[in-house]
Amino acid sequence: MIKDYVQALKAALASGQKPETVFANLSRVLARRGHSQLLGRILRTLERELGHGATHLEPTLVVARDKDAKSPLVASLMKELGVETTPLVVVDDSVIGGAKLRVNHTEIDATYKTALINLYQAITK
Amino acid sequence: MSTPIIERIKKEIAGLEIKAVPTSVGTVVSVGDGIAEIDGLASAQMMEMVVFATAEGATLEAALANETALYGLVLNLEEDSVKVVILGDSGLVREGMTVYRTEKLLSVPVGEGIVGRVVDALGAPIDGKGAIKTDRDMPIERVAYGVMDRSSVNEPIHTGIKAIDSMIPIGRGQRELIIGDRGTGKTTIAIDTIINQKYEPKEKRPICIYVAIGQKRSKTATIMAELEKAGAMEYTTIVATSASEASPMLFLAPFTGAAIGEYFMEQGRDVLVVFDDLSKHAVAYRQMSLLLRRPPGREAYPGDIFYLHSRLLERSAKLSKELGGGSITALPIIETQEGDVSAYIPTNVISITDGQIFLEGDLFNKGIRPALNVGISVSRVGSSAQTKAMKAVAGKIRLELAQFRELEAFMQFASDLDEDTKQRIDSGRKYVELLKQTQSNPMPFYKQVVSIYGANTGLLDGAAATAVQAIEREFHDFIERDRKDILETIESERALSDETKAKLDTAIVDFKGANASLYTA
Repeated sequence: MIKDYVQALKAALASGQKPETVFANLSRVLARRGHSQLLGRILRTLERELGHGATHLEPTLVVARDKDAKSPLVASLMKELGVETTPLVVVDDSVIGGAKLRVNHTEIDATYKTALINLYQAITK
Repeated sequence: MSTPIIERIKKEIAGLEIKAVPTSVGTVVSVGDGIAEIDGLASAQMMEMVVFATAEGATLEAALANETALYGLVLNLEEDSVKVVILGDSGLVREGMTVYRTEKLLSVPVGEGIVGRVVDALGAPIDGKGAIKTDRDMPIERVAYGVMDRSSVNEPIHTGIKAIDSMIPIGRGQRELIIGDRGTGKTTIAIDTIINQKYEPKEKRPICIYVAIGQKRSKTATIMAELEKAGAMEYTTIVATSASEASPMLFLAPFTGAAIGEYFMEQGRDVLVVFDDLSKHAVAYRQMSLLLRRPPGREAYPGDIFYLHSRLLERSAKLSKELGGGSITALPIIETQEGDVSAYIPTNVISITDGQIFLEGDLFNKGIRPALNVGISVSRVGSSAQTKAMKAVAGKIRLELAQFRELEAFMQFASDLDEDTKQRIDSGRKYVELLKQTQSNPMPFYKQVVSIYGANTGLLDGAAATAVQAIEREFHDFIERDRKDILETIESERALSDETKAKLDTAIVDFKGANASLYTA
């Protein structure tokens, strides 16, 4: 059923209709048919099929401070994961230091927070 | 924190090297009813453990305070997502949360230290006696041993219940189903069997594992207290899941019991596993499967419900000598509704197991306990495992009881009975009385042999049926007091020689002479 909705959406978008109108209409149709709960799944499937989905996620870099984004550690992580574009930088001071890079369902976590948690667990085990 | 620990942490931090490796991750897209749908994790395997990043965004202190990791179990691999059951508090999982692969199939920690303990479905201790010292992890799901790895069932496992050990003998490595309505004494038989193992020599005593599937916590606590009181906890492990736990835990519990059993079996030890009960297990699996949106079949059970129980029970085995000769004997329990053994789950498990002990509500209400229906209870492989001593005396009982049941129906209509029929009825009544046994009172096999031999050779002649239990009790006391060598010979030889038979015959005559008051019918 989800695939049918997605197909119809794609056809509507391809015909040149305004996306706002298409999505508003979709929302109304789903409500009328009692299928409102499917909205999230339909949009996620559409996103995936249009090539903006999870398999094409933009590389995301999590660091504790802005300046860490230009550190040699980040450069080595990007090289290891084969990232050539500039990643989206997220500053999260809870990671304490280091960096975490995620792309295409693969993550490499070199943050101090994770290292300290692993150390704590190894000692207290 | 003590100084040595602080020093150790300082040293570790000074030499800390961050070794980060790429990890496969997924994102929670939906969560509900203990099931999470995860986008990503394309390379995840069935039954693989995944860990939810509950510490994501939390401070280091908060992450350390929350020591227990929240795991999930991959059970559905779909076209563009995986579905996992959450093994813990599903309230901690939120949409968008990161999930990591562990690349480990679900396993439980096992070791000698697990004996005498109460654990949950994941092998974690829940008896408040501290951590369990374990040697290794055993996978919860494993392919059962093949044909060439097994040997035939040839050693008995005594339940301590006369009616079972004599007529429905169970062998080490066998799967014997205990089936009956609620309140007919199914769990009692299983617990008595565990308690009876204390009479076995220590080197032959099986490790017992009692798996409570969705039982009331009060019932599990009572069973634990009963086993402790009888001194049976020292060789028993309880895997306890209560009715209030999530269905995945109930689903995992028997597999955990089997995994713990396999650890001991591989060391050449004998193991007895009680699955109490597989009806609740089937219901838990149905609930979980429906939540995972697997197609429902008959009675809304999923199509693989037979495979679920067959692959579990197939793991009980008697290994060949080359593999150490260990065994797992399984006593699965099934609860029937209104005595209907032809329902879906009962017929499945009957066809998987090597026999069944059928308990009847009517017999129970008549005061015949254990309420065993001898007619439809069978043991398909156990007779080859029966001791020679028991085999020598037990042959007559089944026939006597069968004839009695037939005549019992007939005598309701016939008022005038011939002498032979009256005698058969009287004899049958006495056998029924002899086979009655109270709860938590299992009897070692050599005493059972003495009782049954006595009944076959005139010990009960001239006595009223109501006096049978008193005669048996007094006779055991007499033998233990004056003729202990007979019991010792049967226990060690496990056979009834002509010499022992002659000694028993003399003992019966002497006993009857000394206890004439018991025979005033």
